[in-house]
Amino acid sequence: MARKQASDRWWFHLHTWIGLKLSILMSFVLITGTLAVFSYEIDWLLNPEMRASESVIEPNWGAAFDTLRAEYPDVDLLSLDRYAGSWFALQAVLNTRWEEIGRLWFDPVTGHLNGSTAWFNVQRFFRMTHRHLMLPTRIGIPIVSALAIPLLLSLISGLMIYKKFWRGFFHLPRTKRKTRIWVGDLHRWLGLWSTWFVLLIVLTSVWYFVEVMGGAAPRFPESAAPATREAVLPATLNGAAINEMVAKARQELPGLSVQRITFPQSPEGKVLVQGALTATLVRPRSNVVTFDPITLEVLGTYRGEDLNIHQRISEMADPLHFGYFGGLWTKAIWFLFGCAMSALSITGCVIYGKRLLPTRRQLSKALA
Amino acid sequence: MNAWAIWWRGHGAWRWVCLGLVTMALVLTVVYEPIALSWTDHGERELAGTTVSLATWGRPDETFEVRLSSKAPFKGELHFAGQREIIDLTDAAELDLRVPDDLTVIEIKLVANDQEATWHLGRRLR
Repeated sequence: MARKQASDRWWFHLHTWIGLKLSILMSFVLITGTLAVFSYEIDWLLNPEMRASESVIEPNWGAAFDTLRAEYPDVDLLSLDRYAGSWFALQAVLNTRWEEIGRLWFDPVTGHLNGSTAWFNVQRFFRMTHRHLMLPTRIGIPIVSALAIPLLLSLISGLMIYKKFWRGFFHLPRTKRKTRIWVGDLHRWLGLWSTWFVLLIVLTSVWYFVEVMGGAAPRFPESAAPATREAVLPATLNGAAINEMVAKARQELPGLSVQRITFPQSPEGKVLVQGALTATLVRPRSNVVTFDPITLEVLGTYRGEDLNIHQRISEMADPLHFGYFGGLWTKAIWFLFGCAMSALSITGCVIYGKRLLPTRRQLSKALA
Repeated sequence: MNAWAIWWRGHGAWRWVCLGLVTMALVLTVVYEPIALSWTDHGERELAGTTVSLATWGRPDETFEVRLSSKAPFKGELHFAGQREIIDLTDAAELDLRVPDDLTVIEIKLVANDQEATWHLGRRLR
């Protein structure tokens, strides 16, 4: 019995120690991560340039490309993409001659230039602060992803000290009791319901740690080399050629929903048409058709199912961590559970303060 | 002492580690620029019997920082957005060009001995 009590006390101290000592950093990472779920949508609300005039499933990639070449002939085009949804305009990511990264937005139907926005936006703010605290990624990612270990210990210790926790799912917080009681109830209740989510975030964060420490997945299958050329982007590459590549990509991978076209950055480079297909929980770069930008010949093709297990784990991490794999519905779930995790960190702090408050008051009185 | 003060003191030295990282992230957010933090070389031009090269730093915002360097002494005029600057180079010179708000295309021209050389850098993003 005494041994059991000692064990319980040890788990309790571990839970309190982790929750307290890391609360500032953990809360910051959790809150930025939670808001990052809807960061694209926040940018969409803030910037009218990012909005499509009408919701279309298959945008006119070629029209956007032609407009871009006419309006900004001197930029290095990195990619044309549309990730977030059919209500978003097509985005071009580019590099200027003075090496500034920028974004241009095009209407997905007409290709009309809606305008430009800065590279550093709400989405980048939340992504970069959450992912690596704005530090160089080699330093920042290990610091943030290493929080997975205290998070896991916190989860295990929480379950160890919560007696018969499986009975607690439907014990709603007693909101009419004093703060210490109802915040404690809320902490336990949120903790129980978000157990699966905490575990998911722990696993994906451990993967990010492994990835940055050298365990990254091998490169994707290589395609054939394109014909030699002098320019990075041949002058013959126009909107019609882009649309032809998109059509050929759909022939190569029937059902491909094109989400991104990446452009070469050297005269040996290729055009990659990427998107969503049948494989679940992969990024658009897992389904790819590669083209020669001069001949428009298909140089290679692969799909999510062709990747090995290591690559699939790597591809799976982002959709699972970010929650975008099921559209707005899964994002909403991820956001809610992100709020719950953030609340766990904050309510833990309140419990700590409130628990010690009477003790400190008694001590002060005794000393007076 | 209220509950938050107890919480704050309970951290010990860890509060400074955590707060330091969070503060650094926020400070870096303010100073972050999605642009190369170095001189960007825009190439050389043959002009008035010498080779002049142009490099820039940062984006053409209110001002645009440019560096001109030549392989031999060079005298001429720099034309940019309606402004003229006398250039007298023995080796290299750095100058801040004022960028008018309504300027859309960045073009820098050097004139010497009735010859001219132009660096066309393209359209501003905003």
